[in-house]
Amino acid sequence: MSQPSDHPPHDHFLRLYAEHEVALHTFVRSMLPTREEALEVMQEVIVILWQKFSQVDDFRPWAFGVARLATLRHLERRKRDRHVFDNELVSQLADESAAMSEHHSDQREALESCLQKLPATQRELVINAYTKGTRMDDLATRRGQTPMALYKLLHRIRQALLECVRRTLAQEETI
Amino acid sequence: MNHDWHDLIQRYIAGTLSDEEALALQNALKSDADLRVLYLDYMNLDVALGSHAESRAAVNEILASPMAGETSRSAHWLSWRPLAAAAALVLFVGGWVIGSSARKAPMLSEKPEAVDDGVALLTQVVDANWRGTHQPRAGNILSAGRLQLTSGLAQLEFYSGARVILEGPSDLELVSANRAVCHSGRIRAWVPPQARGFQVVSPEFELIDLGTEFGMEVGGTTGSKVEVFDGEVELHPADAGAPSSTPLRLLEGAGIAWASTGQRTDFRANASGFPSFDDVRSRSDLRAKERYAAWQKWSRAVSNDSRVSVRYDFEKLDARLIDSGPQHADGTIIGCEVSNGRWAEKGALEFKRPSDRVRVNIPGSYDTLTLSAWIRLDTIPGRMQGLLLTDGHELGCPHWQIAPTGQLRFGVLVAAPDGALKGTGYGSPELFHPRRVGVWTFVATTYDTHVGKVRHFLNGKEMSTESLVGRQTLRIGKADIGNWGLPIANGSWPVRNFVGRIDEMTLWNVALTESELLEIYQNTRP
Repeated sequence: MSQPSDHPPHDHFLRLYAEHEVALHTFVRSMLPTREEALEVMQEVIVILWQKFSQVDDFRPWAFGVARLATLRHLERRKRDRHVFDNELVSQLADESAAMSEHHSDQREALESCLQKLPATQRELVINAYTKGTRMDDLATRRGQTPMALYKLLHRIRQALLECVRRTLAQEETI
Repeated sequence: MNHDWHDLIQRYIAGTLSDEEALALQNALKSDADLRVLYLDYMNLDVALGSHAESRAAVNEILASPMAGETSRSAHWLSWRPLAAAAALVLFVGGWVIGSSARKAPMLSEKPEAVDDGVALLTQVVDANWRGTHQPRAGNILSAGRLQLTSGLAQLEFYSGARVILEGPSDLELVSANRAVCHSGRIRAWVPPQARGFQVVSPEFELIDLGTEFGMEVGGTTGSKVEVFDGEVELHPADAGAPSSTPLRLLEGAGIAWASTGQRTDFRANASGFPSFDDVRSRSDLRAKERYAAWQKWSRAVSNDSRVSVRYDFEKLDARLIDSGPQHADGTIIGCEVSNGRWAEKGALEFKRPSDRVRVNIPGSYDTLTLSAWIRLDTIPGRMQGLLLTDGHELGCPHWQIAPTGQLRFGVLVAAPDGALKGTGYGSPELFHPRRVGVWTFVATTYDTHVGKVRHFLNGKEMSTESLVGRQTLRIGKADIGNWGLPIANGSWPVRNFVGRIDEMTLWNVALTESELLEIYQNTRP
């Protein structure tokens, strides 16, 4: 990994993977209840993709197929947990997530400007909340808030962001 | 069944749903296609915010590493660069791919330090129109991101020291203090020695500045052009696989047109083809003079407006602060330095020391009231700072100030039904965050006992509205602008002086509406 440019297939893989990574991640995430599990599955996915890469012509559909199987396997393992949707719904979500992939990519682009529209403190807060290693109770303590109040604030910020993203795209479509 | 689906989906993501709620969500998702779209949008947002935070953490890490600042001259970096986009994504956005142990757990220590992700300052604009709803103004700090100027001129100062003039229509993407991508349009850049290595990317090449002044045009039929007016620049082909991928050096006086086909044509540089920094300054000065003259005209007219009760225009400052309204309630200036306001010729008072204040005595009583002012806060909020505070804290006497949290705050003592006095306060959202420090801002608060509302406004836009507790008639009497005079206790008092400048303050005997305040803002903004 340290000298990618020495290995042409590696370059090629990195390029393709970088191009599709976020879409794959969204796809996996849509089937799973938690962020951590999605990261766990993505880690499996990249290993499989890299191992089997040389045999593949059309990267994207193949990668989505690998990601779907890895996610379903993961769900199988934790089937007895609560908060896991049944297979029927998971497949439906997976299909629709894949179909919305381009739309979601537009949304991610719009998110950048929506983040800029947030008051700076709220933007910092939401980014901190998503930074690896941040614990919500610590964050709440630092802000002099109860964790519940912090969760509520984050809910509001996320909802505002989603509404902004949707509005932005709706405006672009009507112009 | 009546669920707040936004809340339910978010709590599903947070893992705090009860079994019943999770089941309800599952059933609803199965039968409701719109709800599935909402759910999938939330999942997408979750991933996007995660990768945003990760890439920012990665960028911070890179900037903190010893390699930063050396990037432009480091051969290692240059050879690595063609893959930078792909590699950075995999290595850093997906930090877990190579194991995230390299990054230390973020600082959750006692005192969070304020942070800002600015890379450049927008210093001057001339007739600038921007694409989109956000219209950056002179004085704004800019984060990494796209600047799309549809017309006019804008001048940026990157934190690295590089100065850039953007000529509309232009589309410049700020990447860091040291790097920008020119998607289209014309720029002129001046790069002092300490900003050597400043990079501008076009579709055809990456320009690395070696200390110079140059012009660049992207997106014409001929591809991209560079003209060097002073010093030298280095051009690297954007397509690293191109046959002639050796960097090209351009010296003073040289110009090159670089077609998307890779074909290059030399020509002589012509500095007068691009607006100069002097042009921008003189045109921006001219605009400022025009706006100041327009404000003077507006100001004379508004002093005769029957809605104005007291008006301080902060012009002709000596020992007195003149009230140009009907009551001539002139103030007395204590301390304070006379300074410049929104425009170089406009008067203002600078408040800094705990003693600085303007002492006023404002007659009358008000069932409806608007307080409006142009202020420039020059410090990050952290304690109460008075805008207009009546002496002590008495029935019906308002306190208008900036709270430690950066909120605009209006407080008044009212009488409860049982006769007891009760302090009430109405706060806006946080308006004075670090980015608003040093920026002229129009603040207004309206108080209306008829409709029973207090509203706060920023630059004419309503920021909050709250219902009044009680319908207390207001009176001002003796008060301080920019401080809190003669407080309750003798001897010592809380330090509440405003830190910054004020160059206009008006008391209106009506509660102005948002459209009226927006119009005032448009007529008076710098």
